[in-house]
Amino acid sequence: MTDQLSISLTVSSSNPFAEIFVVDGAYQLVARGIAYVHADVVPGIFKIKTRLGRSESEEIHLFKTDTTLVVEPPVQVSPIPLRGTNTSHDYQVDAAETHSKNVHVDAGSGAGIFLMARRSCPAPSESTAAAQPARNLAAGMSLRDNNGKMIADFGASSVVEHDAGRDAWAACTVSLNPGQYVLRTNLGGGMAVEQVVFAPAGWQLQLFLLSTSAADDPAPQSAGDDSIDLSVLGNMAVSMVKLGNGFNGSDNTVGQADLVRIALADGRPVFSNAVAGLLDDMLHKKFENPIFGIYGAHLMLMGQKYFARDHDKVGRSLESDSIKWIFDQNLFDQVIRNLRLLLGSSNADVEALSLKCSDPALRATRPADVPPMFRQSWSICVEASNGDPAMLSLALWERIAAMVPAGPFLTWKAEADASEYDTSSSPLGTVKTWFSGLAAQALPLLGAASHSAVYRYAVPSATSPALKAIEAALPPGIRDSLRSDADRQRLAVELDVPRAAIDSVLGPNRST
Amino acid sequence: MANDDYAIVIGINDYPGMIDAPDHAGNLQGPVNDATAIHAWLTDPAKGGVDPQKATLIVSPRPLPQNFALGNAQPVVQTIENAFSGLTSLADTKPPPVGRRLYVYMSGHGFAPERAKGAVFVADATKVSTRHVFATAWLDWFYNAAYFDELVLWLDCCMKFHFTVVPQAPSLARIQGNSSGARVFSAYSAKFKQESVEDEMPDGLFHGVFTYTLLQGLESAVDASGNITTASLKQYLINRMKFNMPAKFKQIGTVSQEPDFGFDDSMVFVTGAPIPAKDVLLNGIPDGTKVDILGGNPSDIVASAVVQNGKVSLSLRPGVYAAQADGDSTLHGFQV
Repeated sequence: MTDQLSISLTVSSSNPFAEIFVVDGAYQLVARGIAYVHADVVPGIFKIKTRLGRSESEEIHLFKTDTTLVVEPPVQVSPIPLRGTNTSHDYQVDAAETHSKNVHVDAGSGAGIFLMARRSCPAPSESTAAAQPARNLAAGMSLRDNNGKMIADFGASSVVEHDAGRDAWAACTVSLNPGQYVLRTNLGGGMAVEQVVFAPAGWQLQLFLLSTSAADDPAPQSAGDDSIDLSVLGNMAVSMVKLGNGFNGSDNTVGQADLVRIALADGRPVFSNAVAGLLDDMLHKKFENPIFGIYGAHLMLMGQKYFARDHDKVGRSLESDSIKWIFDQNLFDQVIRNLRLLLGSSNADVEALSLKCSDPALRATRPADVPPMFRQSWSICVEASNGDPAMLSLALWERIAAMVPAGPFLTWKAEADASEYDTSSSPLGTVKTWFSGLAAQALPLLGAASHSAVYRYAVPSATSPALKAIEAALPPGIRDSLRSDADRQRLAVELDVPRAAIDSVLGPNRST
Repeated sequence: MANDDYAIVIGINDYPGMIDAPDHAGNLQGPVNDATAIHAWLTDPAKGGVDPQKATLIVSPRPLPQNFALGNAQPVVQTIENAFSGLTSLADTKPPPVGRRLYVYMSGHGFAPERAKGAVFVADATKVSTRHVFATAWLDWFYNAAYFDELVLWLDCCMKFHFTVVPQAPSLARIQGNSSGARVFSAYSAKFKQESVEDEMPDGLFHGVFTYTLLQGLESAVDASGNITTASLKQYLINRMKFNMPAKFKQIGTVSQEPDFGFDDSMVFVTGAPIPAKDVLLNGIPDGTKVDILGGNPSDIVASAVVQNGKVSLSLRPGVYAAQADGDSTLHGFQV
């Protein structure tokens, strides 16, 4: 039996992104926080759960008196090969450091893209290697220009290793002219997706993919049908270094930034005073790695929305060290200025972020001509298109309309095929059916073990027969009910569809 | 026997209209197993206690007919709506409330228009004809009609948002009952906008991870009063679902690692429930060693046992515990 009715419990973690949950013996959550928790609790048995990214660990303790405990954060599973982490082998780190400084495809000069795809199984062994299919982990991925012309086939051009007793990897560096390119990935079954990747002047963009089991590498369904699992693509990590420096597997700040990528992808607002401090560091490190700046800017905007919302009152009351996030607009504006200096004034993500600047002189004024790399950047543009529909053209949107959820990236189904619409469906459903064709989302292909339904939607062009048929079938009432500007603004934001597309179907906005 | 309780249990594996790949990726393997197991628990006199005559089970046909195709796929919306409509006709002979509790369980492909509202696609759904049963809308209908004192919804399906699918309310006239409002408990296999998954479980059958955990909880989530309640079941689901989650799904951000809940009004599912005995592995403690089991807040010795074959057999309520060997200050933590 214990003597005290209440004890003081303080739990902390060295990782500022670690979420800490204190659960009592009856599975009741008694306290939670980010990197730090302090609470008065009834002594006894507790479970301390720590979550970092998508990894969790739990410890069981008996607390009888006032206690201060430091918990080790769980192993971070990052696609970035970092020394001293459980999910990276030194030989993979060595390979990344070596091959990010070589050129395997010479397609220009002044910028570069490095891609590494690797596997990390818990205990690779002779039997593991024998079970692993001997295939190039980057097979099925290619780099193209904005016209679709092939620049690099990563499957054909990568340096690969899949030796017995070692986890396989594939690596490839492409030397390029500065610009924005398209990464195309074959998902198997005839489906491919695309996303923009940028290669700014003087920088090397680094892309890392990780498979944690052989199940992530589906066997080709037919000859030449090399494919990547969508969940692996959606978990791709991104970094950037000065051209010529190559990857540094000892730079742990890259791992911290990757936690921000996961937070953005999962919509988990991991804010604390410690994170605020790290964000400050991150924003200063953008001079070494502009990806930090882009991540940091999006995290600031996420924080602005999170703390403006009246959310999760029960959860918030259990939090200690909750911070009142004060969105620093001046800092945000400065970040955008610096990102423009580093990446130029034609980077789609920076230009999208600039639309949130307070200084009008900083905001992009010309329409986007290429999609951004990140989904949140696209959503900012959609929101802005409500005020200026010309900011996002129908043509640009039609290119990416068949969006596929893949982490924080803007990813779309390549060469989406047309299908016929059932315009005999109910009038109320017709306009929704039309929107399904305009801003489609194909669900992740997780195989038979998922409850997800897999749909394919058409991407209509301005002359699409399907679009015309549905336009003709639109009942007058629907158009009238969506006449107000407020309705259309909301529709654009909810559907993540540019205002130009909304207006093109519903007709001119006649509301005042 | 809970003579006043009713149940509608749905499990749909086969979706011929959603087949997009040669390996029939649109079909599932768990819902029929899950619905059958839930129906069995509900109609067990010592457990759910629902009169089998009042518990409707609707699943994909077994064995699956060779000519099973979109044109003859079952179950369809009408099949399921007929089951619900059958309940509404109870009020023809008895003024509401017509029963104590209504259980609704559904498993299959699904979607969610918003948080804590879910629907299951029926067997003849396609990418354009998105036929479905809006489970929470049916719950709302019975709540407003005050047909039952208690409503329970367990939904095992993806809770992804499909803006392209317009959820269809029950095709019944709205009835406003006179009572002060039923107690409601609703649990969902995924958080809003996330996916649910299934896999082969230790019993050798495919199950949804949520339903497998739910079934465990309906046997084990005994609280300090010896009852299985909404509160104890909820805590069990939150804490235990991740133990049943296959490793391959743990790092996928779109897969929900925890369940979600709508309403959690207080209800009792089982009174005087026996606490099942479970083996607890205690690595590092020699066989023949006596151990005390500490639990609770404030903590106390809740059991003692002797280690045999590296484990002890204990009947403990769900929670967090620690085993301590005689003469050893080391604690071996474990969870039930």
